[in-house]
Amino acid sequence: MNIETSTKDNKMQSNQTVIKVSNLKKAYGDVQAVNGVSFSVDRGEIFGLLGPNGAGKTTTLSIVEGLLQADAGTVNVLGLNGDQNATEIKQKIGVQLQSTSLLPDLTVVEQIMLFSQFYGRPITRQQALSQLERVGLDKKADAFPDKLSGGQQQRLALALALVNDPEIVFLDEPTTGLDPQSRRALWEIIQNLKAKDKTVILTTHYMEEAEALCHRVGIIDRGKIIALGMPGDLVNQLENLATITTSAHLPLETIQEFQNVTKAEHDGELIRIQTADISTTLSDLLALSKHANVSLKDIHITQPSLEDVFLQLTGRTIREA
Amino acid sequence: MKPNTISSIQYFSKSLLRANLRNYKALAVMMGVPVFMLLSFWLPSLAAGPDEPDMMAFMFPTIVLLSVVIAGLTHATRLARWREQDVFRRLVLTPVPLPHMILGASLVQILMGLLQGLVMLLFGLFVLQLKLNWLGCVIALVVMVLAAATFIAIGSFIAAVTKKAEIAGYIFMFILLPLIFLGSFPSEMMPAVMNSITPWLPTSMAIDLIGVLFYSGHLPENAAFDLVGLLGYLLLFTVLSARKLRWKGS
Repeated sequence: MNIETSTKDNKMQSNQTVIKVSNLKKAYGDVQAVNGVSFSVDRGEIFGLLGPNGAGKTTTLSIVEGLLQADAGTVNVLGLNGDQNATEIKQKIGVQLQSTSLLPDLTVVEQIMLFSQFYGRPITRQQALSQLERVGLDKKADAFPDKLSGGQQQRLALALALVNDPEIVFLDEPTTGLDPQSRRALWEIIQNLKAKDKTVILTTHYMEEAEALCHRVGIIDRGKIIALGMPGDLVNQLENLATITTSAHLPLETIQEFQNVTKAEHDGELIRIQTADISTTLSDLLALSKHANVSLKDIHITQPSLEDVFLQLTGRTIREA
Repeated sequence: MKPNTISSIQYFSKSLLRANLRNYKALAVMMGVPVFMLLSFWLPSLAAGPDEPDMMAFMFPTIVLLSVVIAGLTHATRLARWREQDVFRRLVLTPVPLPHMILGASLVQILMGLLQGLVMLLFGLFVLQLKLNWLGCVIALVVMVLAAATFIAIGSFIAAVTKKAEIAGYIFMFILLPLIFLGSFPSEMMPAVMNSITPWLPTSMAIDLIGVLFYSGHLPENAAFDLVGLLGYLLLFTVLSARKLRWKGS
């Protein structure tokens, strides 16, 4: 598989590069957290940095945001050098951290008003309420952060990241620890950002999140980007990973001889078939079942995912990593 | 400092001040403890004979000072907690420099310290009917601001060198309580060896200044030494905390 896929989303409204990261390196003692990471992000794109915990995603993001100093490499954000223009960059970006990090003594609406002030954009309570409405928190305006659920705290953190109407939004593991309902609610907000032509960079270790949200992803492992491209392209480069399972009693030897089938085996009562072409294999199975006068039942088709991409590149699942 | 930064600090300070003032329980404790201490010394003093020492003469300035400098405890634990909870990490991502925000938080605690001292002063004047000099009390407010700032700087330094808010609180009290006791007792009641040390303590300097101001209305003879000493401590701990304070935990 190619490490870099040059194909970009044709639907992208503009090709202007807003983030360019080159050969970034960062070590903590003997541990090389980031080891030569390079990527670029275009305006209006949702770019995902994917990888297991400890892969170097947050460190990479922290360097781009200006929180950490890199040992080597360069960061350019909106045409500004990351080392020399940190304050200007901070004016133009919004950041949601992995930990929600809210001021404990201020209410939800007070936090919005305060952070707006930090960016030189003072707002009224009414304006702050309408900002909270965007993330569905207007009814919690006068609550303190410790009275919010995990999902509500994440939404507040996201609202704080948007107070300055940033050109680029950084989201570090935005849905970690959230229940499925809260996760879906946050996905919806992130998708709304896409509609507003905001550039979003998010880190996640949920492959399905990256597939659902991102135009492009960089898969990062042990401080290095091991694959970069559109989720669909990365998955399509996997060969022989679509799987068909059935509980029909069919002769395994015949199936193994089908064209495009790379592997067929028994898995308990089931037959598990790996194929490079699902439609051909399905029609071959139908023909075989008709010929053998066996009903073709309990058919399940599993398409390859980014999880499989990670597995093929590293030999480990993302949970094992 | 840019105008945007100044208005941000002002807004930040106002927000924190509002948060402090609406925390009624904490306020009640902060005010209640010194009031209780005052009453516990004042009541026995009513029964004291004319030849017995006037306990309130040295306990009143001490308790007023305690209520002022305890603001440093709140400051130390707040800064350490913000670091623990990653609040600093979030603040540092905004365009306003973090030291400016800490300055804003310090100003709030100075105000809170002054407010607590003022309440004690008014309690002494109007409830306990202590014979205090009005002009001296007004001038003493300036000394209280200086004392509050000094102990807030000490609190910042403690927050800078400790990892947890709880530990920062313990260390502050561990340092403050002996300083208060050593600084409050009259020299004739102290062993000779202590008399060579106590004048150098920030608490002695502040109590000496406000005690004389409260009762006589003028500055003590060694006021210059006390004022320069307090300013020196303020400068020293401001520099130390600025050098040591980090936004991230270890």
